[in-house]
Amino acid sequence: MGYISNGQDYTYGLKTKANMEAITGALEGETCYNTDYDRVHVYNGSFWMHEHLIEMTNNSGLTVSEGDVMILDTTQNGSMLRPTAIDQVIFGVVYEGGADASQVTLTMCGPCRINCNAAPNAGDQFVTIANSFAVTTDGVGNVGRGGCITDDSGGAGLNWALLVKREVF
Amino acid sequence: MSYKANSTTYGGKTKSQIASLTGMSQGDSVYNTDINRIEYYTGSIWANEDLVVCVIDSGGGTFSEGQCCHWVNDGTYQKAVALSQEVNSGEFAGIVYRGGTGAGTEIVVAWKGIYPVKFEGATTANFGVSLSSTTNGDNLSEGSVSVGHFGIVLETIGAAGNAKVLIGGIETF
Repeated sequence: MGYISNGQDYTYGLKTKANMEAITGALEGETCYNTDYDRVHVYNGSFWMHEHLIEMTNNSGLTVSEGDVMILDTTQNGSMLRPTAIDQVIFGVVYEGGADASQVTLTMCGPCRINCNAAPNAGDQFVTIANSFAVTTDGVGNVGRGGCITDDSGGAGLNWALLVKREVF
Repeated sequence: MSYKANSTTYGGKTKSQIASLTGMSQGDSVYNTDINRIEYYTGSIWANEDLVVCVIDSGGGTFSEGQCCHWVNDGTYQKAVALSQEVNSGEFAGIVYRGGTGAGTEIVVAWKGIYPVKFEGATTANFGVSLSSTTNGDNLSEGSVSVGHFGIVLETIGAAGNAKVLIGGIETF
């Protein structure tokens, strides 16, 4: 049986998300242990990925950053938009951002950092806002809730959340 | 084409054997043979892609495998959870996989995947699962899957205890 000693067999060892994204010359299939998310990432030739991320096109007309909430662009394949109304279905939360029309990665489910329009409380559920990449908290059970805030120490801005897809009807 | 077996720091181990490991470092890995998942050491607890790390809220108590818990706004701890009843379904965090005792103790809960869930009575395969209306942390199975259920029972048990459940998102209205 082969063993990896102390995680050092990851191609790039242990790195924060910022340091991981700053790596140059990575090859498809190489690995890194992300210490911010405590998750092994695999480089796909363009992005560092894990099992809850997908690669999509930012079609919002704006630059997006980690934590920004996106909805599906139903007019173009593989594209996403900024939410246009409250209670829309959250397609994903930006993990590695980028400029308009560029490829970015999105968290589809699981732990992530999410952009909050105002200081939330841990345990709050959240929904989209019209014309905003941020979410607002909502504890009364409206359609479109995307999960719960798990760590509110970020105040207005990035906070940890558990993104869980919920049925909407 | 030849293949190389997926190697891990500690090889294949049961959950119990994993709990007995010592001297781990952040990023170390082990294949958990009870749930067939590679798990990674965060520096303080073993977790995997189905699990989220949280802490027992200021209310304290003992959280055991299979119990359901929910996110709470705790004045002292972040990522704090408490044991749930039906009324807490909107803040559903998951099912305890690695439990503990005492306020501030780190635990992990499964928010998706196949894990043991504690039932307050007998349950039947293919039934939907919801939170108990009376007992914190316990769960019920209630016939066909419907609104408010967070998973599907995968094995029948004749009395109260733990049964495997496919855990998914919860729908609360």
